[in-house]
Amino acid sequence: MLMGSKTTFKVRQIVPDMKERMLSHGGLHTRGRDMFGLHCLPGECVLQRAVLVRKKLCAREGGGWLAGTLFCTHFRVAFVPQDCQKPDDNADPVLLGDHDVALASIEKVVAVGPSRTKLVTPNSSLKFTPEELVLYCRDLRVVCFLFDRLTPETQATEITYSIAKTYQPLKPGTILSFQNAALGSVEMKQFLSNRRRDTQINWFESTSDWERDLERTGATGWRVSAVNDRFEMATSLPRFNVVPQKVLDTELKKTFAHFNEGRIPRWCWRHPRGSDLLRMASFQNNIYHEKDDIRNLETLLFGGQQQCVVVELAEDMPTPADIQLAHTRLRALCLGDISTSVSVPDDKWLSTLEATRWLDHARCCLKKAAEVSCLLRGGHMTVILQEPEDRDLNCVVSSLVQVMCDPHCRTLPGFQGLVQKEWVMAGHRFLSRANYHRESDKEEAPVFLLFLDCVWQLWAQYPSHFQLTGDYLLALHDSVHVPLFSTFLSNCQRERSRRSQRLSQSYTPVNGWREVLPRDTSQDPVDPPLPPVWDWSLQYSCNRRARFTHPVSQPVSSQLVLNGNLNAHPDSHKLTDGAPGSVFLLSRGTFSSPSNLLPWRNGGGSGSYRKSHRRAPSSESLPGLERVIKAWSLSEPSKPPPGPQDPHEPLLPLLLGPCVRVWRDCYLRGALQAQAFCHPTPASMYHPVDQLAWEVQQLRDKLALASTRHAAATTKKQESRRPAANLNQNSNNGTFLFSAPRPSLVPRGPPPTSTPPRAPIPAAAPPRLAGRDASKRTFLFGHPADARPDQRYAPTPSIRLPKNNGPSLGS
Amino acid sequence: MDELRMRCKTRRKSGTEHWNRRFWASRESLRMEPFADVPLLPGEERVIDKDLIYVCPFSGAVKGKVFITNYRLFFKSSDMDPAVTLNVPLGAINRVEKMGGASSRGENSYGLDITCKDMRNLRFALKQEGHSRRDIFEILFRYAFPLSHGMHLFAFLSQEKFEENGWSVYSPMQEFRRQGLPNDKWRITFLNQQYELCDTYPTILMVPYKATEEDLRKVATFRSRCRIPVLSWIHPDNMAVITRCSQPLVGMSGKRNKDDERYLDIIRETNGTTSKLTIFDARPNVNAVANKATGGGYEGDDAYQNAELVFLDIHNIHVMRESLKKLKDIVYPNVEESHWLSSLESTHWLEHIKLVLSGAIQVADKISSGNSVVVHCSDGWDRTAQLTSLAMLMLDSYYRTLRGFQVLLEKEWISFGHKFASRIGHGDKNHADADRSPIFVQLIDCVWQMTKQFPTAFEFNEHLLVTVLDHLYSCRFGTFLYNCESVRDANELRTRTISLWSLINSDQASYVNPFYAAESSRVLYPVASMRHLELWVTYYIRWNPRIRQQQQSPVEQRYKELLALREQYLKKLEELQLSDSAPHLPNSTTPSPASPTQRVTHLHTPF
Repeated sequence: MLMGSKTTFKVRQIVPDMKERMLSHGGLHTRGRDMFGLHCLPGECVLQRAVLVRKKLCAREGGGWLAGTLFCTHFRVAFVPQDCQKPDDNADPVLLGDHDVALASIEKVVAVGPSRTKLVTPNSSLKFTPEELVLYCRDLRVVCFLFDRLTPETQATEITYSIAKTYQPLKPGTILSFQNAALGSVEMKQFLSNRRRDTQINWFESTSDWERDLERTGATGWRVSAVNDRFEMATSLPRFNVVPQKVLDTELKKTFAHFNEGRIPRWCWRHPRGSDLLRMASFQNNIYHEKDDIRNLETLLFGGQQQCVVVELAEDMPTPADIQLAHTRLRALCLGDISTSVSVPDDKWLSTLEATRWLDHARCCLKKAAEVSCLLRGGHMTVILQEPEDRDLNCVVSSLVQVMCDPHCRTLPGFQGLVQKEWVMAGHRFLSRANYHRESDKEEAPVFLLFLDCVWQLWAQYPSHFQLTGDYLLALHDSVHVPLFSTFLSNCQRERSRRSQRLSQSYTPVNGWREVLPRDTSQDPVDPPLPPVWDWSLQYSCNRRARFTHPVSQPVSSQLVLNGNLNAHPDSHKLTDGAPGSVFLLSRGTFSSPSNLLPWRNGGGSGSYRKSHRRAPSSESLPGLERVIKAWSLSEPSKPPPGPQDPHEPLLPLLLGPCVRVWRDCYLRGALQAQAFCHPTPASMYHPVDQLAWEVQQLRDKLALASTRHAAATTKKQESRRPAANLNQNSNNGTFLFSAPRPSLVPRGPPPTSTPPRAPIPAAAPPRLAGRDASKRTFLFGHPADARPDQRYAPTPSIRLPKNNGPSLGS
Repeated sequence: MDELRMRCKTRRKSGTEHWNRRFWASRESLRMEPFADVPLLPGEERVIDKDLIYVCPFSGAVKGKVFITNYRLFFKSSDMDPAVTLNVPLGAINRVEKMGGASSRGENSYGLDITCKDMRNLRFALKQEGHSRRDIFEILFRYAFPLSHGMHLFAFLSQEKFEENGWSVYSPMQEFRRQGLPNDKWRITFLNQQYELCDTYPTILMVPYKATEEDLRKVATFRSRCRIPVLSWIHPDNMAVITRCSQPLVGMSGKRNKDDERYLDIIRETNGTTSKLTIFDARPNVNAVANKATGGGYEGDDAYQNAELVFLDIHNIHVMRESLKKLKDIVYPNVEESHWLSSLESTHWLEHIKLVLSGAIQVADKISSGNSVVVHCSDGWDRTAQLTSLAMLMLDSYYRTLRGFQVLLEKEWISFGHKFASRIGHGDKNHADADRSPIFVQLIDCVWQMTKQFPTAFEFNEHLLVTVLDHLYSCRFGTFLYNCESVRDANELRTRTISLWSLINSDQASYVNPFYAAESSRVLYPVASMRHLELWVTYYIRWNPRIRQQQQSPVEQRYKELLALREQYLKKLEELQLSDSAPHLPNSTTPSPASPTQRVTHLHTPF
């Protein structure tokens, strides 16, 4: 942990003139760097500032307006609420505050004047003083700031200009300067390079990572092959791939040529009932099939199983181009756009939403994943997802299947590991699909966002089966639009590792000698080291992060070891009625066994594969497979509400029209017109369950504390002080909400439970936490009397909760 | 209310054991008779049973037996496990028809087709021999539409007994007192004690202090069906009022009535503001104009100079009926996948919901800014009731409690003469009656939309709303019977039938929203945009087995578990502190302290 480096942080801060200082309310102590409360990143410059600004809060944040100061730095537009607590000088840097917007995620800047609105570009000049500033973001947020009458006009105009000049529409080259603005300082580089990885996540970067997953799922008969260690066999595949044990590396090497881009069938996951999920690219057809090759290819496909189903994902699934088109339409529909004043009339909303086809695409992916899940549940076969390139929809479906079937993938670390495995390592072309550099619009397609939408659909239908929350999915969604994370800035592991190799070299100059690597022109040897997106504490405050998980989720044993032999299920369909070695194709919801499915079997009776395979695949087992899939659509309804349930039962999504819904919290965040009548405050900020769970946790901690004290007290009877007195003292010390001095012993990673995970919740009356909201929402510029959380929290002494474990901290 | 409750208590005491037994028998009747073929309510009698086939649109033909009682149609499959059952109150039946003839071909083509008011259709098939369906058809027809056959509705035959007496929930005097009325500006008039002023209004009315009885009579001549403007709700701080009435009888010639004009001006003045009185005409402008032809109309600018007139564009009962009919077509039995949204849009149902809600929002907004309003439509018993009650729900947190909501319905809907009998057609065979319309369903839908947008603001839950709608049709309770108070009195409804609120208040726990947080003085403004309204899937599509029925959502369940856990911890803590202050107690009873590892992993521990 990089504690030392903090002392070297230097901030170039524009010194405000006296007049402005007068305007800022007197309560703030004007001290060097945290003047007006903005906690700058090392090297971050404040370009412009406007005081007495109000930010419009969305319904999720409690609605209404929040007063504070607006900043434009060369990295972000920051907003500091006037009553927010002092930034902690020793805290680790956080890239974005709760109300900040990264410049790179801004798409449009619109100034609203007394009688007109204007789209502000770097070259435009304003002929009026903006009363309102609206930022349209790529992540579908619409952030709206209102200037007060008391805001100096020059500030309002200047900050609008500053933002318009600095936000930089994405194009080649701008990403780098943005990255440098955020992470380019020496301190930041140093800080990042000392950052530790979250060990809870399986990163799937080493052999042992993969072996861990094989062990976790109970998959036997598979091994991790390092044959692609130098990316020689397949450039887009990871270093390590899981293949059947029976295939030796020397044999394996010959199979790469038979697949598009060398993307051979690789193991993804084992279902507890013993089926294996694999993925591969399409076959190379114009290649001669040696006898030995064929044997190995067959082994690759079947693993240790008797049957194999190839699920064709190109046929009836949306193409990346379809996804891109749908998303473009969805954006246009959801962003009520002031500047162009083109908005869909409310009474046509439903049909226009349908016409975007976004929901259809989500439904299609969910349906396919549900079919595959049902197949896997059927037991003892390999199910192979096949897509021509194996880099888009294979990612979507393989990971959705695992979210549906594997409770571990519904936990936060499990889900992040899943994305590492099926997207990052598998070589989803994040960089091309996100198109940050505006290099090739043809490649752009938010495939990953479609996947997040699908996960959200599942989460919305089965919220109690997930440890992660909608807030988490939203944060991940937004992070995709901030081009800072190594996760999203490469197309495959090879590119990623080249980059980091180069970086490590740039830090350790070796007598001027450097291995010459071909590199992108846009990249520079002094590129800042990019953090992975999973380093959430770098991005978000602990308050935001605390909402990434349900405070109390269904028990999910993350260390569950599955042995792959869970076959005691009563209605397990016996599918092995097909002859061993049968291969079926699942396409458009029906099964078939076309003779040309596997190119090498095409020759017909060439005797090139095992004898048992020579038989034409029996079509008798087709009905069996059909039954498995049908069982899904029919059996689901009568299922009783989840009680103590088989954890391996897949979460099968409901796909009827009303069940696949629009992700309002994400896409409609910016729908300003929706709040026309919305006077301050709709629904409360936190779900009551979260609040209650937090209270219960507090009580539990307190109980634990009290009982240890009790033990101590009973042993030392002579001591007169009652523990209860101690408790009161502790809670009066104001450590309730923001335990200001975080002891440096506290490790990073999951926030220790003793630090409150979220804003203070007054005991016993959840929504009265509006107390805090109300103070935020106040239109007046002054400190509400109850601004300090500890003062606001005034429960009866009997439930006064001590913070920070132990009496040692109290007095 | 307290008086009544006292009376209720004393009565209960005299009833002693017998009472209790009856009460339990009625509530638990479904479980009390596990061996009987059909669950019976006290007073319910079996009429006929018959073996037939239920042609289920979801799982195909099911063999079984149907039982018809004087209250319900009950079907139980004979050879399925678990058994398929149907439990349909006869009151929910809209139409019974014969399907197919003796010579029709095809499997299960001969039988009965039953259309229900609660968004489902039932189809039963019988053997095509010897007029097998004649007796059951005739009996079903008679018992489903008793009023058309000179018989009584089940509410008058029911022998059910409940702990609570639901008829005591609402007393107009008490409700006015709660609102701080009468005061120096508003008084009670007993002019309608015998329904001589207006036969569709309640007996007790709140009118401006300054208006004399003679004034009221004169105003009544100028308002359709004599429904004069009277107070529904008063703002406790700014004294702005919601008043309701029917349209003025302006007619083609543009008649004026000085008394009516002066009366509205008196209403405007009551809270001392100088701003204009806002008259909300719920209808679309054109409809209001068209009403002039039949003698109605709207308040003209010249006649009412201190008032502004706003049209709210809500359509009439016929439009709403057709809209719901279209909705039924797309939700039963099959629900689409990919073209669902445009089909839903073409029903316009959500659009109507939106217009009603946004109308109510405008009313509430005027009131909170201190302007009094007058709300009317044509007769002032459909759209007007929707607008006033929704606005009151937004403005007054009392109506968001379980009791308060009952009061709201009793007051704005039942006592002010929403024509339940005509709109629902209780016990009436004339299914094509043009007076029928789902106005009340629409209200409950609007309330549901609000509960969705403000999940902690309502004390009652979705189950209450569904129960209210179920018994809107069932005819098991007297609550929603008849068109107005005068007819109810004539039929001695309150003594001869039981109130729905008896059922609900005797079992409050199942109707309470665990997330409710009592909060006063907050005005709720729901977002009335198609982008934020949703179809009430768990009501309209609840018969579809593929829509998950969440009797109790997992979240709700979790919440209850947590509540219990909190109780437990608080108790333990208290014990601990007690034992601390008594230092000689051994500490063996205290729970073992959680180890640090336990604390860190608490997120995953099952409770």
